[in-house]
Amino acid sequence: MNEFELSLANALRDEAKEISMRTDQQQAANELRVRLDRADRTRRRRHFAYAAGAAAAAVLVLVAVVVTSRQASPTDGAGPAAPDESGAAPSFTATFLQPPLHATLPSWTEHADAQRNGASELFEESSCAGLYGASPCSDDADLKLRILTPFYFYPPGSLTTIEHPSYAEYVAAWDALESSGTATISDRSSATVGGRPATVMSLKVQEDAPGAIACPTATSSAVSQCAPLIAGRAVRVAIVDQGADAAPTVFYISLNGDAADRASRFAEFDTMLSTVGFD
Amino acid sequence: MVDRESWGAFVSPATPRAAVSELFHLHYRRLVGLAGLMVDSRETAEEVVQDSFESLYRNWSRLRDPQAAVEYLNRSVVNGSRSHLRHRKTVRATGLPDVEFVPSAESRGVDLSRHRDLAAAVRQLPRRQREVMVLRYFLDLSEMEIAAWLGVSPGSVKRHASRAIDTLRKRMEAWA
Repeated sequence: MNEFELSLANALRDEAKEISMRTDQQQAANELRVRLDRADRTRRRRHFAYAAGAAAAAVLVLVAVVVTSRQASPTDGAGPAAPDESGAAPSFTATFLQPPLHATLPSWTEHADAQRNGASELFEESSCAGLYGASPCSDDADLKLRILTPFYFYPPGSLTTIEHPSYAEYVAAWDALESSGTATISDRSSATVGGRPATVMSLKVQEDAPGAIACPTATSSAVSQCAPLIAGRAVRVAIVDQGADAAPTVFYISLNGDAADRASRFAEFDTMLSTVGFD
Repeated sequence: MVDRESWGAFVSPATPRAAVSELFHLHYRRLVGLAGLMVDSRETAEEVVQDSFESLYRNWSRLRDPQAAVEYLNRSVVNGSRSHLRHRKTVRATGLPDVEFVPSAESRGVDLSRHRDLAAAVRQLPRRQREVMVLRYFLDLSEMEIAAWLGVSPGSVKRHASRAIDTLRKRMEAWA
């Protein structure tokens, strides 16, 4: 660098110093604090949106979806297919759930591939799962098995969601379905699923309970955006305690309340529970 | 000249917020000076620097290492200043008033100094030449680095630098 260039460098340094000396760094620090607070709020909102998205994905992911009599036996239009004991029991791994888990699903889910949604797909009305508003499938025509993490849900009679429910809160809400006249509960027991405490119960749903299972966000419409309990359905649910700081994991099977094979389907569900492992 | 060695002395605190606050404490004035060399007002320079720190905070997790934060800030301030200048050009085209840099009373008092004259002459250079001068002689970047930062060829940097130096020499001779 020659003398002129050195002078130039010094001139720029002096100029920059003079400019900077007239700035109020304390005021600037205060402004930055406000900006970072705003960035934190934005980040938290995004985090919750991701969590809600994950919840939605978990809610909406169908582990095995909808085997209707029409799909299983297109020619006769009869009731749900009989349990297929000869089919291979599909193993299932859900890395998108927290905690991740694996299980051996009932063999009938092998036939549900055509209707199965992947983990990355959001639920759509056309998938006949009955979670998103009016299902194009009749309520009594499908057989569903779902695994999810409920980050938000509507307790019986509530107009607002409970966010990040604890295991106790979620179990209490299911128990309250009976006292609220929404469902009758039977075969309620404490159990161990994947080595963790769980509550298992069967329900005959008497009245629709929009949002009773889970919602994708805290402000989701119970009627149009959440997973409901639907009148006339028979449900068996297992709620697994994941500890004080984590939402429970929920497994449930839902089918027509009058289905002749309800007991065997529920037995398959219980067998599946015995295969669950958390990673 | 900026002491680039001192950039390496930064040790990242435990949290991004603490790290950004520490960087702000260490580099805010220098960066306002850098931006002030490129834009037309101190207020704009301060805004550009604030934007850069906020951007750093938002993107902290993407930094390859905490030491890269200072380079990120330098680059962000340069880019922000250039972006402002491009915007100002658009504003001028729409007839809105320009905001000129107003020297302080103190600076007017020493305006006859050689450094003041040189700095004033740099301000009057065409935008690209001015950018090259600031990056070369304030940030002490090489021609290759300047080319990468400005997205032009090293040959272009060399030409801009050469023309700028010629102009500045002539200006200083005329003022002598």
